[in-house]
Amino acid sequence: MITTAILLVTAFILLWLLQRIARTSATELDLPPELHGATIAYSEKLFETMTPFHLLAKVDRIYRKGNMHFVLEFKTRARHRVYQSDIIELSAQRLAITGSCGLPVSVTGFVTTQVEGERQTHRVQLLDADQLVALYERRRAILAGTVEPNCNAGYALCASCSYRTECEPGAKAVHQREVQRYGQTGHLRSGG
Amino acid sequence: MGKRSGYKDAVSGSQLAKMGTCERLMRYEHLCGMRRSEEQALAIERGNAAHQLFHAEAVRSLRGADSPLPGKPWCFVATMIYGPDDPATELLRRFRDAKLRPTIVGRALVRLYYQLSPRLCRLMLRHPLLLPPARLGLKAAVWFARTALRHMYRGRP
Repeated sequence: MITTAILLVTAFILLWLLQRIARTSATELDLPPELHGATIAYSEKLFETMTPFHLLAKVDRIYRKGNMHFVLEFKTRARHRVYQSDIIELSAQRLAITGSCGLPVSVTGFVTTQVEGERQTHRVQLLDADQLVALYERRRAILAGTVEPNCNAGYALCASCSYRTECEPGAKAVHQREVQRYGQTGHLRSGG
Repeated sequence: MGKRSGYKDAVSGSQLAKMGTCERLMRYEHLCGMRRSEEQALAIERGNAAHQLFHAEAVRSLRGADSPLPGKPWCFVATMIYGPDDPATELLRRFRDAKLRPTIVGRALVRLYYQLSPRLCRLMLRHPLLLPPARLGLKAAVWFARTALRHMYRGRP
């Protein structure tokens, strides 16, 4: 009787686990082949470098495999997507690590996205130091007012942007999308 | 000295990353500060909590690599039978961290196991006849864990 109960419980657990394995591929160990056998070298560590510019970067994780290091950024999102900002952030982290302690860091980085508890790891190619310097210089120029900033003009971002009322191109992007979606007359009717 | 004096020109990785989101938004936030809706503030809170968990997982893993014995919860039965540094014990630990810990049911099973296993170990030490069936059970568990982890790796592009 007890044996049957134990077997039933074990079978239930095994079935549940198999179902989970089949359903999701997102776990901590679900890492790309480059990271198989790698160990975590650092977690939540701040790196700072003064060259080629003063840069501070907090790294979510650094994996070490042999002599090579890989940076990984963790993001909680509504969907499993990698954005350009992730690539810039990882590239900045790579620059800060190499600049501060000279560790060899791979040009391949990883972004782990977590959507409702499910994780996926994406491989990305990082920017080099020159590209980051150019980005830094452009940022400085924008903040100094010598260069006009570009607008992302993406509906998803602009629609939820808290500066939408001040940002003319952003408001335009949202308006255009609404016109496309609801039609000019419908939009005007709702507006009037 | 040089470092301190240069802080007003310093940029963080996340500040630089905002250039990839929207340059206008980056400038607005630099000049006027961040404006967050309630929804965004909640999302940030959720993100911070998830980050803490992610970091805790790494710390556990780091502790495991450096000092597998003190302070780290481990598989008592496997440790007793195979030893703390055996690949089978490590495999079961990885299976626990990868497959059981991320879910509520899995965590409950782990908690239950950690409550029962020390008694189970004491029982086995008192009655060595229980060791062969325990070894057999562990072998099955190791096989299952290996298959599950292999399945996971195979699922990757």
